[in-house]
Amino acid sequence: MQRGLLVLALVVGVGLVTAVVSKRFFQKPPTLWLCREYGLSHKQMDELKEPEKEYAYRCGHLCGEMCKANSDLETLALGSDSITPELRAAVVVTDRIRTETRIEMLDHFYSVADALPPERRHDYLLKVLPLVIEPCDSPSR
Amino acid sequence: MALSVPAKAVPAAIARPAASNPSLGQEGAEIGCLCRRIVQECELDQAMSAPDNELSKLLQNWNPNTELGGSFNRQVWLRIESSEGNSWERVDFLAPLCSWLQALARPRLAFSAATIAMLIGILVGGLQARSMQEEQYLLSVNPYRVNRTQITPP
Repeated sequence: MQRGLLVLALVVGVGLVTAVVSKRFFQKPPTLWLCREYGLSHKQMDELKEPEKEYAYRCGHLCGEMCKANSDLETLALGSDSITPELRAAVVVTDRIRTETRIEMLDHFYSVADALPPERRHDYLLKVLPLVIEPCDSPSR
Repeated sequence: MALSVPAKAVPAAIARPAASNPSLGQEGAEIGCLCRRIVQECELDQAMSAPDNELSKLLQNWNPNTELGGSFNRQVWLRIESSEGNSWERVDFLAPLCSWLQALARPRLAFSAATIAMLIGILVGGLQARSMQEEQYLLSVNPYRVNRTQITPP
């Protein structure tokens, strides 16, 4: 019976390890999902790679600015008892960066949607627009 | 085996020990011994077969009034069944698990189970990877979740 228990534990372990390995094996780059989901050719995918790199760089830069602006806002808010001109300016800065980021995102999504078949553009925008429309939820996603 | 020969039927000359009757010789002594044993057994048989009057009276006067009741038999069987049932219940609970584990210890069945587990693992892993691809794409285009170490100037 002890041998049977050992075999059972080994079988369960083999199943779990196989699941983890196959999950890693089958994981593809996110752009491949776009290719498969919307039926893009390799040529169309190659055309999308450059705009994606540019978008990642611009948004990464904006994200860094947003982190700094949020940190400044937090410092000012904790060191004040009321709305001061500096605090008001810090809030405006964070909103400006967030707005710029949302516009960048929307611009990128439109450029990707242009590469998709016309009948699938609406579907794609429905999937990605929540990232723009609900930016406050975005960090927690 | 006790012989039912009356003690008085044995001649006194025969019943006496051979030593006290030298005229009978060797054979006579043996016969004497045998007869003496027969007499002793007859006396013992008579003593045992004598009726015990007191015991007979007691048995005749004994009248058992205790009633067992209508459910006595049923209760006895129920107790027997319940005592047997407990042991079988315990055996039934563990028996399938034990037999299953013992069967799993056989090499052929163990390899079969491992193969099935691998196939299930491949299927589950593949489905999970497929279902996560959309989520991963949305994370990759979300600037708040982009890993900044991967960002390089175009």
